[in-house]
Amino acid sequence: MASIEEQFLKAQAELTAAIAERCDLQANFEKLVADNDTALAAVKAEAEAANLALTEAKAALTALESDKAELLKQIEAAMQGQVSASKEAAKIAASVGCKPAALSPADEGKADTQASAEDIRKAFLGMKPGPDKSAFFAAHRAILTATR
Amino acid sequence: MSNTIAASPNVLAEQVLAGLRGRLAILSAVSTNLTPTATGKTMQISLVSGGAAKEYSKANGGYHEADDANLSAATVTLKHLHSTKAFSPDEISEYGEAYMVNAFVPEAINALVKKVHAEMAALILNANYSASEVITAANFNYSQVVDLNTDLNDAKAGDPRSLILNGAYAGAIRKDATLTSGAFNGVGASGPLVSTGAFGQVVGFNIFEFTDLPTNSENLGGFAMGADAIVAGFSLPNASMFPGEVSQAADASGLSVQVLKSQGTDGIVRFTASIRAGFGVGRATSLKRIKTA
Repeated sequence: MASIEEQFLKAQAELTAAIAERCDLQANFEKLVADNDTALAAVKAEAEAANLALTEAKAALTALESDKAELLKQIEAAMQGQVSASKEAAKIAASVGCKPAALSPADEGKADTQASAEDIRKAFLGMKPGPDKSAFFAAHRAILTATR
Repeated sequence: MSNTIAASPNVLAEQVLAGLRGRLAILSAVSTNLTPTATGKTMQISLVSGGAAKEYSKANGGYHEADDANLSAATVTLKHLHSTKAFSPDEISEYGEAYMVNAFVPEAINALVKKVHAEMAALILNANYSASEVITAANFNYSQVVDLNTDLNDAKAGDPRSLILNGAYAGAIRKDATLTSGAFNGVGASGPLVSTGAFGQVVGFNIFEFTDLPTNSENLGGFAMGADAIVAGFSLPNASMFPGEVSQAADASGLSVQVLKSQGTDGIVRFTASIRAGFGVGRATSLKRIKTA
């Protein structure tokens, strides 16, 4: 059986070890608390930055919508002016005996197609006989052989 | 410029040329000189020869060892052929340009093709090509085609080889089981010969069916030939003084046609498609006639 002195020394060593363990646990706990505080601060900063970006985007969208409305107004105004100009040109042409070429955007499209066919006919008639002319004819046969 | 140019000789010439190109496939089977600008009454045509290149020999004269010029070219006289369609003013006003175009183009193609075929077929006489064999249409089959090709090999006929048949002989060969039920062209009974009647190549022969092949009063039913057997020359007639619209069309091969349009003092509007064409005998031994009797 151990002496009282020996039992005291053992108890003292165990106490010292327990104190050291408690110190370690305290240090770890404090470190965890500090880490959590840092992470929380970072998340907060990130959220604040996102909120700021969202606010800026909303402001930009509002500005773009405003610009779009302004541009639509300008286009509408320009188209009204174009139709008026076409009508005015038709009046002038009619007054001097010319057939108006176009009165509306739809008629203008048709006129473009006719001009293209005329260009093809003109180009064909200007070509010299040979393989190139035959190939051109084959490529535009429908237009070149169209009858009234 | 008018709204349309469908009745312009420019357009008509291209349409007629496109038709001739498809219908005159026989020109690929003969030796040709297709020169739209040739102006002479005659034209020299080089034969697609069945000969071979020679090994150089100083002792034999080097390059002077040449083919006989008489066997390497032949001269033909060109005939001026035309198809003309006349329209009265009433017809034009009543039916319009579409009517004129539709009445003129197909007829011009048909007429010129028929005449060209007739000109060529008229050459296939005993006096020009003495080799012949009597094979009735009933007996004409794949085996006979093989024998004809062997005969042309023996005669050293040029390539490509062609077999021109009238309707009865073409019909007979279309029924030959060797060509319709075997592995002919790798497609057998589902091949084009059965489905469309097109022959393609048989024993090295490109086969052409001439339903209007004349007998020439010599029982002609068809003929097998090398490309050097017949020569053909094509060009265009002179129209520099023509008092109307003139146009011409020519393809890459040189095949060409001229279209004229005029209205005479009689009020008649005439459309003419014209060519100059001539056929002649090339190497007489490179053709064998098939006789019906």
